Amino acid sequence: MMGILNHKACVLAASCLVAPPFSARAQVTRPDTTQATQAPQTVQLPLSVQFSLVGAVFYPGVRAGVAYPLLTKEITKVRKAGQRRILLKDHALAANLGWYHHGGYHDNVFLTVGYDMRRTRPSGFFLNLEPQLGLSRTFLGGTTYEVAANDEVRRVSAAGSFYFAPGLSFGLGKDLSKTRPGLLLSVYGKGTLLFLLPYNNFLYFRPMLEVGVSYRLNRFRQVRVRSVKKTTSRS
Amino acid sequence: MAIHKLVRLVGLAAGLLVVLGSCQREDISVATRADDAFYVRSNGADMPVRVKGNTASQTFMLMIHGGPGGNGAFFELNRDAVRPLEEKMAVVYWDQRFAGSSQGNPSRATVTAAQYGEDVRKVLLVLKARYGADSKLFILGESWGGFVAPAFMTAGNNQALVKGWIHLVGGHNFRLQDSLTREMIREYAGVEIAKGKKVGQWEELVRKANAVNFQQYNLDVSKTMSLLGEDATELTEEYQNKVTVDGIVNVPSFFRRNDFSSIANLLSYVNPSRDDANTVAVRNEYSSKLHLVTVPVLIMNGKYDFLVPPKLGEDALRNLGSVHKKLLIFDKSSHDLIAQEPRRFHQEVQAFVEEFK
Repeated sequence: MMGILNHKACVLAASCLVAPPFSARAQVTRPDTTQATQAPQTVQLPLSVQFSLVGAVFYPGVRAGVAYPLLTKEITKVRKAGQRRILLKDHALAANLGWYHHGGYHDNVFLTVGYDMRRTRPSGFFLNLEPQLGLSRTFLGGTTYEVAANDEVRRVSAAGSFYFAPGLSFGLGKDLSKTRPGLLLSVYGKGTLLFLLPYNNFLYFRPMLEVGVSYRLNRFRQVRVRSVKKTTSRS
Repeated sequence: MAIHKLVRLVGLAAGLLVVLGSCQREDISVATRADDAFYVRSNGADMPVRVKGNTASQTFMLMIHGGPGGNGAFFELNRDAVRPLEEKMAVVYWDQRFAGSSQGNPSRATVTAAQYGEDVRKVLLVLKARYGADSKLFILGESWGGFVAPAFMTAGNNQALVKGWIHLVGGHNFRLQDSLTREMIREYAGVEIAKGKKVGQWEELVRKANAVNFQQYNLDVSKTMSLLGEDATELTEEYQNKVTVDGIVNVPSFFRRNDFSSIANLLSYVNPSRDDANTVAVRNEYSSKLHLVTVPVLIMNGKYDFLVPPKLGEDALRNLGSVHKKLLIFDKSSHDLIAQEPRRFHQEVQAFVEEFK
């Protein structure tokens, strides 16, 4: 069962790695399409705080952090019939502190910083991809002993190791404020593949599933970010 | 200001969870059905140890797994073989450095026979510290574990820690083992060809085995001989008729186990350190040092084992310095003896332990 889940996680991770970023796909201009890009402006966007429950395969955990907006793009697509479709592309820097508990094996505390690329439809539905860099500290899931030079056996306190912890998340969710203005919440689900390395001179990976909420701190803190508006229309 | 409070709150909550979650309990059970788990730290490696069964007996059997890159849980797959042992003694499942669910990041320079032997010694010392200095300890080395076990037994006064050693399809001399594989392939090919069975395939196998250059014996030669040995096992009709997997190979429970990590167990099979360990085994041998071993030894080999041929068991029997030493050939087994004749396996192990504990 677990093997099957691991396999699925691997396939998911592999598909994330080979898929081009959303922003890269958005740059493609078809020959029969015209583009109009307004000069970049600066807008105020709020920081978000996020909290999620983590399931590291079968093992529970939590993850919480802050997303700092960096760039927002509003792309208006004008169809032949004159219909307009607006897509929002947001880039943010996300810092998260996470923890999961794998009883008997280890507890893992990990701090990651990721570049979050998100594409949001007018309905509020969004997809995001977030490559991450991070640091992990594990705590072994059992009493740990070491043997001194005189063969004395001693307990080691807080035994565990530090690892470099890169990761990749792929998520989807809904920005509830798009349909209910004033409700500054987003709900999301996310799949993350977290690597620990070097681990036994090799690597270790941990697939994780998250469900969480994100709250936009509109009233508390806003930062200035570059805003780009682009209109594409079929000729 | 509010954001600072929030960040502080999240940090506090995470810290609390870590403290709660990572509290390391020391479970030392003296019981007939104990199930304790702990770690032994040795030269950069944090190695998991699981003690299951009758710790009240104060008799412990440390299982030294194969591979390299295997894991202690391998033995647990064969419940018919190990469960009866757990009733009479405590069976100790240990994951070696770079293998199974071991953690940390030991240097590749620690892949030496001496270090593996030292790791065995440390696990045994921790067992004595936990369960009592008068605990009766035995070791069982399987396949590659049969290379690690003599690395421990022949170093210093290590063998004083144990009451006995079980050498289960053990590879204490890879070079000799691989040459015996070739000899066994030739022998069986002669018999099968004479019977007119799969003549073309046997001739091809013999041709490949003869082409292997033992003058330049190295890891590639050893790997080639292992593959040829596996092919020979498949071809041997007599083997195919006799050998069945008799034990309950409980794969689902292996993956359901939540005490150690199945992901790590699987990754250790592709860890580059496996080749380092095999290279160590290719460059060292223990036939010439077995005379140093004086504790009782039980040797078990499978009649149809082309990977570790039964004649390697004869080599161990011949060279061991022990007064009490015995070679058992399991005539319905190949290399996976523990799964193929689990009942005989646990009966012989129990009898050995009863006699020498």
